[in-house]
Amino acid sequence: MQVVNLSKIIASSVLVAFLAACSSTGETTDASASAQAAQVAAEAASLAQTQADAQALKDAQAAAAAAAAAALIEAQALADAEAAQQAADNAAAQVAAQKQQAQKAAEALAHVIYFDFDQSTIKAEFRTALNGHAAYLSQNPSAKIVLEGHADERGTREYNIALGERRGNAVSRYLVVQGVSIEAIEVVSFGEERPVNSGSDSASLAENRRVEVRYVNY
Amino acid sequence: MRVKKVIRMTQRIPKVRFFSVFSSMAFTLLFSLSAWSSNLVIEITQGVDNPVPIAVVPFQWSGDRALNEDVAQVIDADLERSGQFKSLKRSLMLSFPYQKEDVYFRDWQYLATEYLVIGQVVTTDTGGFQVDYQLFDVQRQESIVSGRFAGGKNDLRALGHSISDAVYEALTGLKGAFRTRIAYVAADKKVNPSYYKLLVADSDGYNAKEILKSNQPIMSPSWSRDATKLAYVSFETNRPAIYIQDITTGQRERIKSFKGINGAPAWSPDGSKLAMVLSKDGNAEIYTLDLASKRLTRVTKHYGIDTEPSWSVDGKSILFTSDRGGKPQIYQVTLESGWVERLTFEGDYNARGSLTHDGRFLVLVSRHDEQFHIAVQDLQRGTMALLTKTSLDESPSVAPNGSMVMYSTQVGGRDILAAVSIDGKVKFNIPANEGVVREPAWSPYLN
Repeated sequence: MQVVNLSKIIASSVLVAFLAACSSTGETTDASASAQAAQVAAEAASLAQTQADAQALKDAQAAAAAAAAAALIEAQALADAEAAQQAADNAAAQVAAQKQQAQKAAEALAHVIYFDFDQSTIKAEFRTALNGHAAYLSQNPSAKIVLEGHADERGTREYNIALGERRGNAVSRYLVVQGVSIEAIEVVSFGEERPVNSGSDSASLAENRRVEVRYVNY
Repeated sequence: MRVKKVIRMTQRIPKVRFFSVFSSMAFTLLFSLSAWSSNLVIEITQGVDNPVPIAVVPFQWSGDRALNEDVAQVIDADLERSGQFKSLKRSLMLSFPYQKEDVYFRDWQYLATEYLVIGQVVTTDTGGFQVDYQLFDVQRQESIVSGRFAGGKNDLRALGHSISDAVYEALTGLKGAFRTRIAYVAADKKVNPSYYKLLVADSDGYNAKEILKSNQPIMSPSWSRDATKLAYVSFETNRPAIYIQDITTGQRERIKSFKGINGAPAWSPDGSKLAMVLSKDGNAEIYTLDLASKRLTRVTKHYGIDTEPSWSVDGKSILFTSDRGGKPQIYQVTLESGWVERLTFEGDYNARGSLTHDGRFLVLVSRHDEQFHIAVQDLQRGTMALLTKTSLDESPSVAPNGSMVMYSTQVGGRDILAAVSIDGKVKFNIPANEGVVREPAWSPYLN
C-alpha cells in the first residue's frame, strides 16, 4: 500500500515538472522562462520527493505499528489458546478425577452378594451395593462386569452349577431393572467348584453361597 | 446254585478292615512302587456277613527276573474288594500248587477253604505275558472253570483282573467288572492357589494317569461306550466348555460352546449322541448333540432347572434332575414324545439319578435329615433305600455289572472316593495319598 502511494506521489511530481517544461517550451520561447519553469519543476520534484519520503517514513512507521499490533494480537491469541488448552486440560483432569472417584466408589461397593441355601432371592441388605453398581454401569457405558455365581458344597455338582447361574441371573435382572444394559453383564456359574472357604460349618457354607461382581472393564 | 450260596448269608461277623493290598504280603516277588502304581489305596470298611472263603495260590513263574506284579495278589484284592469273599493268607497255605496234579484237596478242606485258584505265568514270543488259571470247588474236588489270558509286558495287572472277572462270574453268576477303569477329579485342598486334575485309574485305583491338569475347575467326566474317550467340563477359558478327549492319544476336541452353562455331558448307549445341559436359551435345559451331524436337539423346556441327564438303558429316554416341582427331584423324559414323568417322591432333594445296567435300580443322591446320602430306588417295587450313612455323599457311578456304586464323600474334611454294593452290604473307601478326589465315573467294560 505504501509503495503504491509513494510511486503515485513520484509520478505526479514528475508529471508536474514535465507539464511545466512543455508549457515553457511550447508556449514561450523565452529561454529564461524555460529555465525558470525547469527550476520550478525541479523544486516541485524535490518537494514531491521529500514529501514522498516523509510519507514513506510515515507509512513505514504505520506499517511497523500495524505489525506490532498484529504481533500483539497474535501473541494475545497464542496466550488465549494456551489458556484454553490449560482450561481443557483442567476440565479433562477433573472428569478423569471424577471418573476415578466414581470407579473408586464402585470399587468400594460390596462385590459379593450372599444367598440362602437353594435360594436365589436378593436380600434387602445388598440392594444399596447393587444400586451403586447399577448407577456406575449406566453412567459408564464402556464398563463391563461378570457375575460369578457360586453354591456351597451341599447338593450335587451340576445342580449347583444351575443354582449358581440362577443366582447370577437374579443379580443380572436386578441390575437391568435399574437401567444397566444387558450387554454390560455376563453371568458365569462355577457351582460349588470354587469355594472361598473350604470349611463345612454353616458360616463357611454361607460364605460360599454367593455372586461375585467382577469388573472386566471400568 | 452257587449264586445263592454266596448271597444267602445270615451269620454276622466283624467288619473286615483291609488296609492295604501290600499289608499281608509274605511273598518273595518284587513289586513296582513307582509313581505309576498307586495313588489310591483301598480300605474295605464293610463286607457281607459271611464272605465265602477262597484261596488264591501264588502263580508259578519260572522266569529269571522277578515279575513287577503279583497276579495272585491282584486277584486276591479284587475278590476281597467285592466284599463277598475272604481270601486265605499265604502264610497259612500248606503248599503252592500250580497245576491240578499237585493239589491236595484235603489240605484245603482242612483250611476251611471252599474255592481254590491256581495258575502260572509264562512269557509270550512277543515279549508279553500269558497267564493260565484254574478254579476248583474244594469240597467236590473238581474244576469249575479254567482259561488263559495273554497281554503285553505291562498288562500283568490287567490279566489278573480278567481272571478275577472269570472267577467272580463262575461263582456269582454276575459278570465281573474288575477289569474296568475309573475317571475322577483331583484337586488341591487349599482353595487358592489351586489345581484341578482329571485322572484315569484301574478300578482298584492302580495305574493312575493324569489326563488333564488345569488351574480352573474340571467337572463331570463321562465315559464313551467303548471306554476309549472321556467327555468332561473344563473352565480353562474362565467359562465352562465341554471337551471330548481320547484317553490313549490325548487328542481332544472342544464341543461348540454357548453363552452360559455347558455341562453334564452323558454319552448315549449307542455312542452316537451326547446329552448335555446348556442355558443358552435362558436357563438350564437338557439337549442332545448328534456327534456325527453336530445337530443339537432341545429336550426339555421349563423355567425350572433341568440338569444331570442320564440315559435309559434302551437310549429312548433321559433321566434328569429338575426343580420344576419346587424342589429337585428326578424325572424321565421320553425323547420321541417329550412325555415327562416324575420318578422320585420320597424326600425333598433327590438328584443325579442313573440306572443300573438292567434298568431295575435308580441310583441317586438323596437328602434326609439335612444329610446327603447315596440311595437306590427299586423301580419295580418303588421302594427307596439309603446305601450310605455319611453326610456329604455325591456323584454316584454304577459299575457296568450293577454290583457296586462308586461315589465321593467327605471323611475328616477331605473328599475321598468310596464304593458301596447295590444292596448296601459291602463298603470300601479309596482315599487319595494327597489332595482331594471326587466325581468318580466308572467305565463301561473294556474291549
